[in-house]
Amino acid sequence: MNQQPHTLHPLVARYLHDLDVLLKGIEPVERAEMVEGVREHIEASLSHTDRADADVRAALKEVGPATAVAEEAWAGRTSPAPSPRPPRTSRAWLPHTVAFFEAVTLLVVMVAVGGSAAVSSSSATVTTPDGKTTTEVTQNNFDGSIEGAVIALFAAIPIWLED
Amino acid sequence: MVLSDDTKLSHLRRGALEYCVLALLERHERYGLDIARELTTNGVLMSSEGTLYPLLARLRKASWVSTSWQESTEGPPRRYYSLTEAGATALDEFRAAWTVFRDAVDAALVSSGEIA
Repeated sequence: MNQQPHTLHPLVARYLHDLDVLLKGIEPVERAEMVEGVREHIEASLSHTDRADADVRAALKEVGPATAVAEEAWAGRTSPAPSPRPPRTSRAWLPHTVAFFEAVTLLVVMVAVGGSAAVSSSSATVTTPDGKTTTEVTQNNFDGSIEGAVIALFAAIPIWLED
Repeated sequence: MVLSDDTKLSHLRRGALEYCVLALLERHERYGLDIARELTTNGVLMSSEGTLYPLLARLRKASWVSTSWQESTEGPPRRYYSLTEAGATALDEFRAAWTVFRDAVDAALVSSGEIA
């Protein structure tokens, strides 16, 4: 027996929809029983009111958050949404794959940091006798160091892989 | 570990609340709103009325309560919950266990000086 004496107020409809979604995974008959029970409860509590928005909000406040109802529904069950796959971070191949790509990235970083630090140049602005101003490279230096690359290496080492 | 009052009550309720519902149905059948209002009177046994319905669904699934529809003079027909024989047996067993449990907890708390 399913009584639908009134068109559901939009707030009630949304609440029941949210609750139904939160209960997804529970055996359908039990899930429907819970949602229907809450719906009947709200209907009964609104029976002496004008069903104005304020009345509906007050009734929903008494019922409590849909999440609280769902939490009670899921209490003692194994999992709200059993996943057939393990979490991504628990996959055995993941650390090795990350380590490989990180090693490649490290090499690129070392070359970029070390190379950019090693090459520098000096320039000077020169005014020619005819009044034109030009910029000339006066000195090229190759005095950078590998320290930057080494620092980058240690900063990026995937220490978390050592488990 | 310091627990909030809500969390403490939630821990204490678990396992006991469903028997409180059975006890409310011991003398006569009731509909959901009636049960919920009774349990939320002081905010100790239940904080949100909606949480009653998963509990009632569990009790019905365990065949400790049964349901029937009855006409209401105040609106649409209502689903009434009543205690089954199995539910009455479960309630009797819980009462016996609860008395022993409550006495043991009281004794432990008194001996540690937290109440008395």
